[in-house]
Amino acid sequence: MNDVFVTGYGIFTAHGFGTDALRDGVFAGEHAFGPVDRFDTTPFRGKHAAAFPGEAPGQLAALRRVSEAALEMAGAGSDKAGVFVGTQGDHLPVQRFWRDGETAGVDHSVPARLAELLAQELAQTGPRIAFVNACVASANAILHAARLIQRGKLDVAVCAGAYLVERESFANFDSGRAFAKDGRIRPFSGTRSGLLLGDGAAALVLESADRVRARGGEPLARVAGWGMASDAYHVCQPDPEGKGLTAAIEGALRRSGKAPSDIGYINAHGTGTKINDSTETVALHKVLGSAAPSIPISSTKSTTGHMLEGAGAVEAVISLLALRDGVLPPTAGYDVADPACDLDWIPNAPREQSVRTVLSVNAAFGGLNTAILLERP
Amino acid sequence: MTSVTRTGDAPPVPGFIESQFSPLVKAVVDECLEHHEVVGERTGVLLATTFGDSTTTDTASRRQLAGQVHNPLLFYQSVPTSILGYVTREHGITGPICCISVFGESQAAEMAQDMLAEGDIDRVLLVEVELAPTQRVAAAATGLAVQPPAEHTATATVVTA
Repeated sequence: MNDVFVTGYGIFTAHGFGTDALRDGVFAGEHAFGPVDRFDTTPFRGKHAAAFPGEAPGQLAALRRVSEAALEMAGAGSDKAGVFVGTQGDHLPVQRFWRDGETAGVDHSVPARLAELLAQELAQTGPRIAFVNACVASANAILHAARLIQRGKLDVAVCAGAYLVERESFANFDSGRAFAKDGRIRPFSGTRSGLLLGDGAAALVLESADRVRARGGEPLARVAGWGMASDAYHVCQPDPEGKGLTAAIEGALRRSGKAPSDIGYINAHGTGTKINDSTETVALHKVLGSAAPSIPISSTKSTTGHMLEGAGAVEAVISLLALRDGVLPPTAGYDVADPACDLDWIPNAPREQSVRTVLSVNAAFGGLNTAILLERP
Repeated sequence: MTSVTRTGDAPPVPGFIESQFSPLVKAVVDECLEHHEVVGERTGVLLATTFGDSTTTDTASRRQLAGQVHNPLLFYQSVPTSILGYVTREHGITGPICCISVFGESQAAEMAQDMLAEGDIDRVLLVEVELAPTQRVAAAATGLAVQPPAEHTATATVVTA
């Protein structure tokens, strides 16, 4: 079995492109929410999101930019990388097709095509797959690459994901009354009232340890473990006992040979909805046991918004940076404690703390759950 | 290997409207598992499609352009995981659930084997579903190697190592 290393990453959120934007925004606890000016929000109850100012780039452009940055950082020198992308397809061409009859770029609305085009633009000839399982899609992309590399089936992979705030998804979440009422996501806080959407795209380059060593590369982190499990509970609500999330984290710990007390930081799914955050707390208590209260946990969606198919990759990069920098990003907007959410949420201010192992978890409609464990190489 | 294929329309599923995507998924899964016992935690699901639930996507987009109020049911079914939450509850499946968009069946079959090779599960319920094309999908598919089928089609297969 090969070890799996992360050797490069690229990142974009509403705070901007690159690591410095992430440090200045997410790690400083600065939120990026504001009234949406990208489209007319008059028909909707919600008005806010974390959207980068101005026109949204197309998904392919955003994915290309973060993937190129990741490959450049990795210096992997591969042209046979697998390209695994979390995306639901680009909805902007769907709107243009039905509004204007425009067919240019309408193929970007097909997720498989988006993955294929990204691979072509990156000049990579390995397998390409679009993962469309909603809010765990790009986490699933990372998991899949890790499993192939560990088994020696692949040497290098670009694992990416993207969601950019657009009208279609905004209307969906608005109709489901999912949006926070006060223009902020306040995960795990007693006053939390829902989620907000956010721009997010990220890519990570995963490589086999043998390959990294052979080329004299420098790993950023080891993908120590991963797990994936489902609730078998509901179309759109998490299991109140957190069974699926518990099983996913147990799988990641088992695969890594680590104990709960080895985890130094957890990047929670933490959507800011009443039900997600309380059930996530239940799951964390269950799987971490007596170690749970002493593990710092935050939801960085409190600064970035929920990036849907991009969330897993973006939050893996944030977790990676916490590992590298020794700074844990806070849960911004945290105000009143909720007895149902009684863990250390790193409220409002970053915490300087050196950690060796970090865990990133995500969940999606249908009861899907993922857990990715990264550790210092 | 147990496999079931269905074309055309499927019986309605409460809470899922307009589109045949989710009802077809449920129909083929139910039929496939009717005589096939699964151990929930040792079973994973892989849903593979190229063009996805184009009916839901395009219906929502057209309604918005027409100034109609968005239907929350279209929200829940806008992602393929929702119907999998429904069917996994009915069949007690708690293994990993993966949904992919790829060109061609062979990639999905290979991925099912990749899921099995990890050793956490010993069965993958592979569900392949494709709808007859909407106008938008017909336009998007122009020039692509894989074309959508003329009628709605879904297949469920229990894959073992």
